[in-house]
Amino acid sequence: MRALVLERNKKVSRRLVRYFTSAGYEAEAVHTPEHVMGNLDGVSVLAADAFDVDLVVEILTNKPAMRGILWTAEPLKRALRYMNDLPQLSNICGRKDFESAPRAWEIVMVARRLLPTNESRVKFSDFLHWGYTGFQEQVASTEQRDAIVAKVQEFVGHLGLPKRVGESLGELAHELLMNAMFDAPIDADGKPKYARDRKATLVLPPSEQPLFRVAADGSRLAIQVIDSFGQLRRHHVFGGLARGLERGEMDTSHGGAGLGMVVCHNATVAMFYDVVPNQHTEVTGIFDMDLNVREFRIRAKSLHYFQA
Amino acid sequence: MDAARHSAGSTLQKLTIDKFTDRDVVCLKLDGWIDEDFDGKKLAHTIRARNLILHLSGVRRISSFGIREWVDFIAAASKSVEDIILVECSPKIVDQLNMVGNFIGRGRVFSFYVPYRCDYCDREDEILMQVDRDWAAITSMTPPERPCPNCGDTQYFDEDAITYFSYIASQPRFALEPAVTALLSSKLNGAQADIAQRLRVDKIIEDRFTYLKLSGDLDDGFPHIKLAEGLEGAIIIDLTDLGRIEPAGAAQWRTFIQLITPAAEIIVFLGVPPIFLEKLTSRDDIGPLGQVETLALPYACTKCATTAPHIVSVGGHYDLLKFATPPEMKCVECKSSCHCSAPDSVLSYLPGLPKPNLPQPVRKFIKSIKGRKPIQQRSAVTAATGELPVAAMRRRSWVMVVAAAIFAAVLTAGGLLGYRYLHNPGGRTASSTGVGKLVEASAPARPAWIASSAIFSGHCNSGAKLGMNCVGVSSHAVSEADAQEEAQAAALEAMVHALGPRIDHPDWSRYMAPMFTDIRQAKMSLLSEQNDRQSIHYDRAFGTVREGRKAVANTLRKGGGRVISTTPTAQYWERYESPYGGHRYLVFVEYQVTGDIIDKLIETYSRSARAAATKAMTIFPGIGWRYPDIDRGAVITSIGDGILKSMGLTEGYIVLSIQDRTVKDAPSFARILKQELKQLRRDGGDLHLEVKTGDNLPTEFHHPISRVKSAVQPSSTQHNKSTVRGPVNTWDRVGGNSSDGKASNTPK
Repeated sequence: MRALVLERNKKVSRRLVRYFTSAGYEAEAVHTPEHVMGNLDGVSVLAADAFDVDLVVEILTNKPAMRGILWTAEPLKRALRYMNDLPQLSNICGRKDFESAPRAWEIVMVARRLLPTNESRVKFSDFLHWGYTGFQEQVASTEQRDAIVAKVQEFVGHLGLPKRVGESLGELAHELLMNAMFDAPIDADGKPKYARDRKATLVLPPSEQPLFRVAADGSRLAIQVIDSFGQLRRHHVFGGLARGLERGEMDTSHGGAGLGMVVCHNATVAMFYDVVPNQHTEVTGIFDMDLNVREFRIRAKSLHYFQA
Repeated sequence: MDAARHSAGSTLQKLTIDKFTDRDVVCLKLDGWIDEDFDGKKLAHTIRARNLILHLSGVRRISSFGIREWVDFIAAASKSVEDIILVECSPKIVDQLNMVGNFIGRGRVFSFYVPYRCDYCDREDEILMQVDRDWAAITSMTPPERPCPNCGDTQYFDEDAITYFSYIASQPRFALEPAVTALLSSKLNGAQADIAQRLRVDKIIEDRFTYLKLSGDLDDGFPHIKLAEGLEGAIIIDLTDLGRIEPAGAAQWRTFIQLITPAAEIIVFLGVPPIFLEKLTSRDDIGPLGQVETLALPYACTKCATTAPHIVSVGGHYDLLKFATPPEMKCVECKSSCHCSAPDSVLSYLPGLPKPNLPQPVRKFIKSIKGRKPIQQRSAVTAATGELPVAAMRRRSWVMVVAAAIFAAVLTAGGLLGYRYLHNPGGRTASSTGVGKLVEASAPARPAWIASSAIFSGHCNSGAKLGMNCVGVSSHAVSEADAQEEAQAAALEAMVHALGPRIDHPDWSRYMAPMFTDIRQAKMSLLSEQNDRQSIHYDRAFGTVREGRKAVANTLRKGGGRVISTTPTAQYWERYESPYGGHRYLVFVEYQVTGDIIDKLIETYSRSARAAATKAMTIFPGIGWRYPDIDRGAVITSIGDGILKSMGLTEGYIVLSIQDRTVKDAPSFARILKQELKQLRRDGGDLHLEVKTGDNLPTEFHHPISRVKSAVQPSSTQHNKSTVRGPVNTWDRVGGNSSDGKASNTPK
């Protein structure tokens, strides 16, 4: 399998080639868009900065079997427009600046998952270094949801992170659980069971209870919620976030999904959405504990959507 | 930029909403989370007001559904109010402002917190910024660095400035309307915010009654001397709209009461708010003629969660109030029964209030005043208004302002002139010395050092080698001894007054000078304004100055002034016939003080000493003007974490004694404190200090000190327990790995 890396910074491009090679590709780098077209033979993954998203979209549109990976040091807004419309383009990695490569673990994980031979799901432990600690709970009720949110803040506090980070991650946990408990469950006809009244007090049967996980490895903190319905679609993710980031008048016509996506986006450095339609949705948020709040705010975010 | 709040600990709670109302202004204070449980539309329908204030410092989390409810709330509320103002927005709210376009509709943000962080201490602080005060920093998006309160290292702004300030910098700058600031600063007790509300005084004079309405903060801008001028008869002071009370304002208030008491027949206080009740209702504060007629206490309704001030008649509910129990009231919103929400610390002052006994004409006047339209529309005089707030300016044309000013001036002049005519029909203006012809003098002619013949005066000239020559003149006293005492006190007080500006020490300027400068000036001014020397007002003002000078001279003599000769350098006297029989004596004294002695005095009164993390300075004799009962002591000018701070002492307090040992000055403060602490740590016992904390009687501060056991050296086989703990899973400490989850507690 070949991966073509379009990256103007030669030093960064060498690193990226190394990452893709480590993920099992035959990787090659080009440094200008003009050299892309002549190097596409046998390429299954085209990777580039979001600055060149127009070129990537043009090529992917003409080559339906090819997948794209983007990276960016800027806000996601521009790339989201294209990602919402093009299923081959579902991954964008944030990086610090134009002189830095995206995070190695993230590129390797994403690239590996795009290999057609790879069918295994990513485990929660794959997001973290070995030796992490944390907790997981099956969430049966709204009361338990609030308890978990409180516990997350407490956990973050024990890790020595600023209180505002704890509040933000508590907010993320609440958001993910609300979606998994109220929006995900559907009845036999495929209609949402509880989405009408999000103020209701819920007690869910075991088959509808989402699984909540949080853990930290000293550098990264991961929060994951899994539901067993698999209803989340790419337009919920990309379209919702694009709407939410527009900062226009709040549009409630789409159920306010955009705001929920923005809450997730604002609380993490990377969001992973794994969906097996009608089977399960697995949403994982990663927070980088080595960044202070100011660095975190200006750091470009990652967004990944995988659908089986 | 100030008013820091420190983040400490995390307390998780759902949303609580407190509602405060005052006439056309409603304030909602939200604390907790805004999520699916927040019912925006329902809340909006409970609001009936012109101005809606949203106090949001306590909002720490907002979910996406909460945002939707919030936007519904703002949309619904906008239909029933004219203006929505957000104050003390938490960083979370600022995030939402930047993220959600219609988050506050046509509302405006007045103040918000900006997060700061010190990496070294791992300390987070949130600093309040206001659009009226910090506009330059907001629009330039450059919040200043600030020192960490803990380590002094630099704290940095812990956000992306361009994002953080983007929304607020794009809105127009504005100031709060007076009614809004009144609610925030008084009813909400918004100590965090520097919502400075300049004091406004409205005054109505009718017949022998004067009605004053004070609105705003009682701070060092309180024009106490100017306001006291001409106040006579029955003085009614309405405090319903009083805002915050600053220490400097409280001191000026006491001076104000002292100044108006001599000419007053009765002083009545209306609408006394909790802050005033707590700070300024002692005997010294309201004066011997003062009577509190009504209180303005906050009442909270448990049914609709509205907190609003209610006027409580002290006389009407005296039997309850004397047991520190306010009466029940009806809620202004839902008419349910509601209860006073003032803290116990405030209510504990209720039993100390005397039962008012107002003459019928005074009651009738108060009733007529209260029955009129709001005073702003026809106020007689505004004594201390500052710049008109921007918001208010928008609403008033210049024509109205000019017309109101002319109308006010005419009313004022009419009121004042009318009052003066009624009470001084003879127009007595002649001043009389009250003495006859000179019958004897200590010398054939007044000596050359007497440069001025102004009686009852004191002044100093520069002497040789940076010294001073101070001359004091008595009044026409009935005895030579009295005259001599007056003259000496006048000369020495003048010396103290001249000495002050030569003390170049920041602590002196910060803590010592403010204690007496204003009160001296006020007492002197009052005396100089008395034209009729036979009036009782002159007598009272004269007595005040005489006692003040004596107190200052006494303190000087007992303190650093011991270096000054006890007898004047020169003295001259004259004896006059009195028209009432007998004689009157006029004495002149001179003190010549060399530059060396002046230097010693300056050194004495600039001296600080430190003990137990506390720095103190020797009291300056000038404080005799304010505290005539104090002639020794040391003023605390700096207090760090230590035993005295834990006892409740603070800067500006005067330590008079430690373990019953008199503190004469700063060095003795440090010496005695060190000695006594050493002994207490050896033997154990109670540390007690006698401290002057304000205008009340000195306060006793106590603190038990345990005996320190002698240290035991650990044996070589002992280990420090904190170093031998095994591996600890952080999460184990909060039960994270307990098996209450249904699945395995180890994430896969």
